[in-house]
Amino acid sequence: MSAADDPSIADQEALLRRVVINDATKTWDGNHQRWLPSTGGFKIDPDGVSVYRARMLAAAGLGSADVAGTRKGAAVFEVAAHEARAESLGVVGDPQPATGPLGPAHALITFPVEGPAAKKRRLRRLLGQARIVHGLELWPCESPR
Amino acid sequence: MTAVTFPMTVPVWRRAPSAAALSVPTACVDWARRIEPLARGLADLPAGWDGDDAPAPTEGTIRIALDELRRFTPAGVPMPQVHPTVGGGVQFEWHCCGWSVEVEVTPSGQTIAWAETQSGDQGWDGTLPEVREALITTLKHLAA
Repeated sequence: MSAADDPSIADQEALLRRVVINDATKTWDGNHQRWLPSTGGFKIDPDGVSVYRARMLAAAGLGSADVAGTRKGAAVFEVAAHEARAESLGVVGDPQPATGPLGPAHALITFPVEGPAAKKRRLRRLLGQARIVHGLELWPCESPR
Repeated sequence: MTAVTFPMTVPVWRRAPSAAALSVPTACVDWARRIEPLARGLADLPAGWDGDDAPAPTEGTIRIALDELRRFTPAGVPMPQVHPTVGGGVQFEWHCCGWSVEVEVTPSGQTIAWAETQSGDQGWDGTLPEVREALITTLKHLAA
C-alpha cells in the first residue's frame, strides 16, 4: 500500500526537522565524504516521521530558529515535499495546536506499508538530500579519526 | 532562510580533508577489540540523547548486538560505526566502498538490516533471518 499523501501540500514546500547534533546522532558517509544525521536518531512511528511545514511557520511569523528552540546543539534540516515523494514517501498535515506555537505547522512524512528495514532505507535516502538551514556552525567539519 | 545543500554547497573548509584521513577501513581482527568499548559506552548516554526522550541502550542489548555482529561479519570487513537508536537499540553502519549498510538490533533482540549501492541500483532489506545471506555477501564486497 502506498504512503498517505496530501496533494494540497505543494511539491516545493519545505519540511523542517530538528536534529540535536552529537556523536550519537551523526554518521560519517564515506561514500560522499560528509556527515549525515544517523537514521538511528529518528523515530519512525506507525504514522510517520514528525516535521514542520515551513510555509505555515512563516505565516505565523516563525522559522527554523523556532524549530531548533533553545535546546543546546540543535540544528534544523530541510527537505522539500517532492524529495520525499520521489522516495515513495508521502506528506500529510498533522496539526497539533495544543502543543504550542509550532503545533499548527506539524506534519508527518509517511511511509508505504512495509517492514522497518525498508522504511529506514527510504529515510536514509531522504536524509542524503537534506539541507541544513539552522545551526551550520554545529555541524562537524572534520572527518572521523 | 539560507539553505545549505550537502555536499555541493558546503563550504570547502567544512569538507573532510581527504579519504586518506579516515580511520576506516581496518581489518576485522584489528577492530574487534576497538568496537567493544565504543558499543558499551552507549549505555552511558544520557536519557534524551536525541533531544527528545530516547533511552540509552541497555548493557544487555549492547551485548546481544555485539554477539550478533560477530556472527554475521566476515573477516576483513571494515569497522562499522556504532550508534544508538531512539528505541533503545544498537545500530551498526557502513557507508563506504560504494555501499551503505545498516544493521539494527532492537531491545527485544530482533535484528533488521538493509543495504543499498550509492547509485541505488542494487539493494535489499528485511529481518536478519530473511537477509542474512545477502548481508554477508554485501559485507564481503566491503572487505574486498
